[in-house]
Amino acid sequence: MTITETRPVAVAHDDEPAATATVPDTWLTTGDHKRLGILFIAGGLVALIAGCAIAVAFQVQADGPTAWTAAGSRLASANTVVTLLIGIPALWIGLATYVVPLQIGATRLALPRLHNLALWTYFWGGVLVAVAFTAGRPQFNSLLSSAPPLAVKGQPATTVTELLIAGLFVIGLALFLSAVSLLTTVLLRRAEGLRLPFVPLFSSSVLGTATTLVLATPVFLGGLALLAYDQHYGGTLFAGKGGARIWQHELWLLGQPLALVFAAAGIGVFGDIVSTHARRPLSGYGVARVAATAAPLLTLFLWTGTLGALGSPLGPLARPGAVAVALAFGVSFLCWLGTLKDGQRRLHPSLLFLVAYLAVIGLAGAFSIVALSTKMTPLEAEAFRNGQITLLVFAAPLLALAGAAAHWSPKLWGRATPTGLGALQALLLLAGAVLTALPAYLVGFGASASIAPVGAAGSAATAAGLLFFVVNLASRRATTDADPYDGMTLEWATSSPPPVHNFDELPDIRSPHPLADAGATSS
Amino acid sequence: MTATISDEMLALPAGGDTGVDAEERRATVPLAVLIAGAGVLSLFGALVAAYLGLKAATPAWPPPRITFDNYTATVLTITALMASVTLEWAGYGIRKGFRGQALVGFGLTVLLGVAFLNALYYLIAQFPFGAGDSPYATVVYAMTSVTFLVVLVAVFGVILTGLRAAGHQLTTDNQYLARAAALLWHVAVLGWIAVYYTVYVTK
Repeated sequence: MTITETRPVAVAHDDEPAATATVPDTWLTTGDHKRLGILFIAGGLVALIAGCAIAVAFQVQADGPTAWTAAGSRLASANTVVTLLIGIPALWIGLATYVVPLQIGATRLALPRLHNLALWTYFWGGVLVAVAFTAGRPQFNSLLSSAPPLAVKGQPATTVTELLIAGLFVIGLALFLSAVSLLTTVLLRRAEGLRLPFVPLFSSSVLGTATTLVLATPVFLGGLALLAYDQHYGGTLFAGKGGARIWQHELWLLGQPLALVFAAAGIGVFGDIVSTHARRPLSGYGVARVAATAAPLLTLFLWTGTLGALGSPLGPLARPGAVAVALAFGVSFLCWLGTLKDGQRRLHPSLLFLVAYLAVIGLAGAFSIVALSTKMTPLEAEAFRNGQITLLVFAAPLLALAGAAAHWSPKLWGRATPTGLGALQALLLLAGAVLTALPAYLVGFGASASIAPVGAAGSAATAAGLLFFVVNLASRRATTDADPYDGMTLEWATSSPPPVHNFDELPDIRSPHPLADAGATSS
Repeated sequence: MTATISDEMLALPAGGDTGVDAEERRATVPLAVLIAGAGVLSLFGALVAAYLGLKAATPAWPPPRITFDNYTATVLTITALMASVTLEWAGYGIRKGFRGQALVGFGLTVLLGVAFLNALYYLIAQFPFGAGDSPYATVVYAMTSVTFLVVLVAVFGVILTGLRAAGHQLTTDNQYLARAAALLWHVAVLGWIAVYYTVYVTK
């Protein structure tokens, strides 16, 4: 007699008692990636809504074109730091922390305690930044300005300035730790059979984004160390030509990969969304996967920008890195179009976020083309670049992340996003971002700043769009509908929201679309 | 009767130091340290790039009247390399099951690491300039301070690993922490060598 014992389903059931055995699993000490993800998302939302409130106050108080250059505005400086360095990254980390282990069939993060440490490090960094901006005006202008700070020789920085530098340092450290944790998770915690080429596009883009953050964030921290010494001792490091270069490549937002990396990560998000709602594998899957992974990595080329290009009104679009990202974006766009054309399309709100994402990027590109034929003063060029920052560094990643939240809403909130509400949120975020950016663009093109109230209305609309997240977060519930979309990737193989151990069973994995394979086999 | 168990048979996760999950854990910590190490090297790269950028943009570099005694820095480099050797010796002891050798290796590494930190602190205290005196001074202070912090973390990692070895928690089958600690230390040493070569050798 022959007994052949085979495993019908691959089960990953090690819900890691070691991570919780010594410490009770509370929201404070949790190593559960779902709770950590929710906490990061909540923190990111608080920061973004606070950033919008600051932006409204800034636009209301704006008293002339110089306001949009951030050359001396505490509010503009606070808005940049709170939204672009705290809000958007925290939202991205939150979604990646929640979704990636589900997509790769893992029961947990590779380093849950490190991730918990990163969460609370992020929190205290945010507190330091908030205290700094509330207590007074830091001596160096925001990271929005391409002009480096000039410390007055022999005059040490104020406590407020040092608090801000310390807060930025702590946030950078938390970003680094989160990236290490996510990267290790994707590399080591994949389910049996899920080879790297089979990893879904969002997780592939996390691989590229986390790698970029691991390499780019320490450079930012190095720049902050220099800034801290310079400001604390009243040095003259940033006064000369060499110092200006350090500022522009290590600290200024547009001079480093942090500027575009989250917008590029949107390519992975929308790849999964298009594939799921076209109900077919992505056309040119291999190419799209390479583009999703490479686009965030290519933002590393932003460091190759020269001072000449940095002075250009084209801002980030004038550099080889941005061109490389645009190429990856173009390839992905063709794959999405091909998939939607041949697939059985389903209207889902996440696709509306894709339209809004494309609109924002298209608009920024169109403004760049107009700027080519416009002669701008340095002040106008600075304002123009800040308009570009609003669209490319703030709005594009925000729309991608909102699209991701709408797509994975059954997993995140326990219910699918209603089409009407999703459409309203997409409209609010799109209109809000465009209106917020408009005054800066107009100042760039030589108009007066009398349009500031429009910018304030835009920021308010963005805040209203963000409130949808808050409502969803506050009303999370359990549902039994595991896979409302007939999804093809592993996150749809478990209940919504998933249990603590994520999966009761997993299908055999022999392709990037294991659930589609399982469906074909059973039929 | 022939019983055939397929390779795909899945065992329940085992606790302790054996089983699939323990294997994953062994791979996780060294990989995470390797990834973080790439970031640390990126940090040193940024500081060295800042130094070289300033040097290229400044006619008199280092500023006039600044002279360095290379003696302490060279001794520091030798100390760091010696600690790398003793840490590899400790790892060899763990791999081969020579616990005594491993403990001596860890002990020597900690001793050399603390000596390194002490000498580096002395070096910083003896700089013939203040941190805000010139761009050169600022960047040199930042580079050496960052080195101090990174080496401090590495020494802390070696101490923790040594304590685990002393508590019989590292064995021939379970040496992942020793590998991770060694990786962290070597990255810190590489960072210091980059600083040493830039500031003291090529100036």
